[in-house]
Amino acid sequence: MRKQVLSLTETAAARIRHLLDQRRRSFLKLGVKARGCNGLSYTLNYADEKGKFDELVEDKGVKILIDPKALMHVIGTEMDFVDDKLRSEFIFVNPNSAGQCGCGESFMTISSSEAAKRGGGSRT
Amino acid sequence: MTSSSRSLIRRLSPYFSARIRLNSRLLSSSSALRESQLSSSESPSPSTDAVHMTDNCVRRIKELQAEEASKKLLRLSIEAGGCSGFQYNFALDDKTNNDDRIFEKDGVKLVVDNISFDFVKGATVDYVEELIRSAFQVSTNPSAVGGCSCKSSFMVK
Repeated sequence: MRKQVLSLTETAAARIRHLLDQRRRSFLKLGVKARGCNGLSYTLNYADEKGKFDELVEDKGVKILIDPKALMHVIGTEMDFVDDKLRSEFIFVNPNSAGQCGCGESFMTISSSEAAKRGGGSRT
Repeated sequence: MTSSSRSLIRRLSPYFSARIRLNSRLLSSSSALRESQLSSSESPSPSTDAVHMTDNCVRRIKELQAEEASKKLLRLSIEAGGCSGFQYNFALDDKTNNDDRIFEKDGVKLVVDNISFDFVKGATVDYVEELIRSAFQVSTNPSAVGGCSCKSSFMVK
């Protein structure tokens, strides 16, 4: 059985289900962008159709699209949702992450750090 | 009254009334300043010396207060850490301490302890709501230079 690229906790799946139902959109799309103090940070947007090279992940009854540029960086990640009075946010537990900035928003993976050493040319 | 003195009065009265208006404005502004200094503890009047809140921040604090039995305050403090030296920490608190600075807007209070205040003079606290997260954030801080772009860590001038 093929190992999931991305897994969701029950709380994350429930939250995503709620967001998609509320807005009546089809998918959430996970991506990464270069910013933050330590390489990359996650982006999350609504999407209505699957792009040609997007990876579709279905877990706990919820569909997530992964941007092809992000795929290598998020393999094996578990997406969770924490909700306390002061903040509510999606968090990503990423085994590829070699370091993280204090707030956890920005992370670096082995592949992105090597790319940065090579001169940042292949930075996504 | 002679006509010349009547016309003199007519000529001079606009100056007098303007002066009286200016004086009353000065008097009322200085008394308001004294009043604000007496009523709220150490709430400074110049805006570069206060910590501000956006309307969304106030709205969110009111929502949180509605859920709690006791009246909660939002406390902003600074701790060492993060990728740029210092990071902000938000918490809900019940009480203020003697060395706290309290900023009030629309009936909600933001509390900063005296030591942290030096690092956030003139800053603005916002409540940012995005798909990926909803959280309190210090959106601008003139006391900080540089800082990480996720806005949780910063350096001081």
